[in-house]
Amino acid sequence: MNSRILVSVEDVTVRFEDVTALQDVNLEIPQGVSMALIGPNGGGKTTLLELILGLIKPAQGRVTYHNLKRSEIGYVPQETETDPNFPVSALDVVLMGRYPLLGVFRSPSRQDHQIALSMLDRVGLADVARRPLGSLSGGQKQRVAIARALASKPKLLLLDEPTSGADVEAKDRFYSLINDLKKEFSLTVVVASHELAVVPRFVDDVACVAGGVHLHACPSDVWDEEHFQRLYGKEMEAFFHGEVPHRMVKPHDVATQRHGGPTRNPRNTHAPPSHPPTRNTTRTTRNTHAPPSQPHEESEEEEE
Amino acid sequence: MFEAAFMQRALIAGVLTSVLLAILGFFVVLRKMSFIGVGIAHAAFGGVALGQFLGIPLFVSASVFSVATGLGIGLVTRRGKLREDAAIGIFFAAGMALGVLFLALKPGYASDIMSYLFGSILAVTSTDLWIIAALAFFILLLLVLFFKELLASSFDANLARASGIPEVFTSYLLLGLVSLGIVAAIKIVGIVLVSALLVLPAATALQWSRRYLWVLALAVLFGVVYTVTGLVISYLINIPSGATIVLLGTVVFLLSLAFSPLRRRIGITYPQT
Repeated sequence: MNSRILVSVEDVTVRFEDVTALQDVNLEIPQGVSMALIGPNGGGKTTLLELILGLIKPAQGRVTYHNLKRSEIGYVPQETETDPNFPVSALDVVLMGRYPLLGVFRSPSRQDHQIALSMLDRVGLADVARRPLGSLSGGQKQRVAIARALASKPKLLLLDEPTSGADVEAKDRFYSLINDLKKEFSLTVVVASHELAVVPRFVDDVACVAGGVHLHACPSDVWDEEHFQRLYGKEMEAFFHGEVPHRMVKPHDVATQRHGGPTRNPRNTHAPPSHPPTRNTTRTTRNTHAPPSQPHEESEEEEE
Repeated sequence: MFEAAFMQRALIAGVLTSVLLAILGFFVVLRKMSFIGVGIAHAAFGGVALGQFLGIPLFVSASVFSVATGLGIGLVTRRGKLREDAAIGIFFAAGMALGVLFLALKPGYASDIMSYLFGSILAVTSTDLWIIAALAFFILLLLVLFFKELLASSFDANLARASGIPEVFTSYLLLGLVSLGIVAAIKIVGIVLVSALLVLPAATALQWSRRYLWVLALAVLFGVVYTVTGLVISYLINIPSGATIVLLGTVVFLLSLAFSPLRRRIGITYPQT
């Protein structure tokens, strides 16, 4: 079974000074899934991503990669304030995604340029490749960041709050782009988001991250069933372990869910038998929810 | 006017250090650490005075002092012990205070010290020149070797670290190189004015281009032009060279700010794709 797991987080506790950011967290990221980490702001989602990236050392527990190298993790951080006057073009930034693969003392080759250009083309930004990054819109900058992550040929793509601030249509375009990229490059995708509504259209798995609380165990006042129904509509159902939602699936997916059984152990949840049906379900779900005929080309428009 | 050996040495030393500081300044300005340059240069004063006091080569003691200060500021800031501006303020004052103390303990070198404070490019000896050349070669070599790491971690340090670029090493490397570069330039423009030669060329070049290779090339050009022109003007009308170089650079910077093609472009969105 381990061959299908890319990353396992076991009994991890993370502390900053005397604040506990994550406590006794268990999580396995199976190959090929789309997983959402949801939870309130400040709940530790970014910390968990940084833990997976190896930027943070856990106080307890461990993070293990299986058939995955550190350099095969692509990361799209939360929109950060980079200097708008920094003298780089979109292409320069995407090329930076190749740097770790080159090692020190080596400059990008013609081939690296071609890879970077093709990734920009793939996210619909070939036309602006030579423009200064500072002249691009927020949405374009984000796609530059995705192209940069893709340029390092990742197996696992981590996205931190990728759609905060975007309108509903932009979110739909964004997630359909991510889904297309996921299929095209055989990616495993983990999205951290505090926005519940965007999640079920896109993902196979949901893990809740809230403060020093266990994964798959968010406070019930935030995650009551009514709240879920309101956000996700009647097509979606939340599965609860006691008072907390564990996983959201369409109602007819119940049979699949029984495989997992009511357990806190994510190992069972992500057991291989449950995966193919879940992924099919997700695809159906996305079609049900997405606005009719949203061709991918539209995502190449300006978001502003 | 360049027949005299001291003028030739001044010219070569001036060009070398302005090229060096322009390239270091490119990263310093982009990383918003201009004030670190001021702090390191003033801490180097402590090193200069210590060298006088102990009778060891001033270059050695100044290098040790400024590199230790540069790395020290980096360390306390990165560890989150102290905010960067506070760290610089403390190291800055401590370096100067040590300098004053060592001078008081061994009086009689005040004029020499003045030349370190305000520069004395015309007094560059051939030994100084060799030291400057060796430092410039060493620093430029490392800057070229680690250029892409420096660029990526200056652009976005967190993302660089997340994608596996040795960002921590790179930023300490840059602090060390900036410290050494400042030591190389102290003789030219002096402790008080050295940060201008570090910041002005890159800040001016950024008014003219948004491509990093152009910004680098322009920064080097500006730096060399300031130094050579400032040297000539100061020689012709007999005014202090360090101050002339810095004021010339400031004038060009202000003119660039006023007439920059990018100024007008900022805030206007490019045509939609």
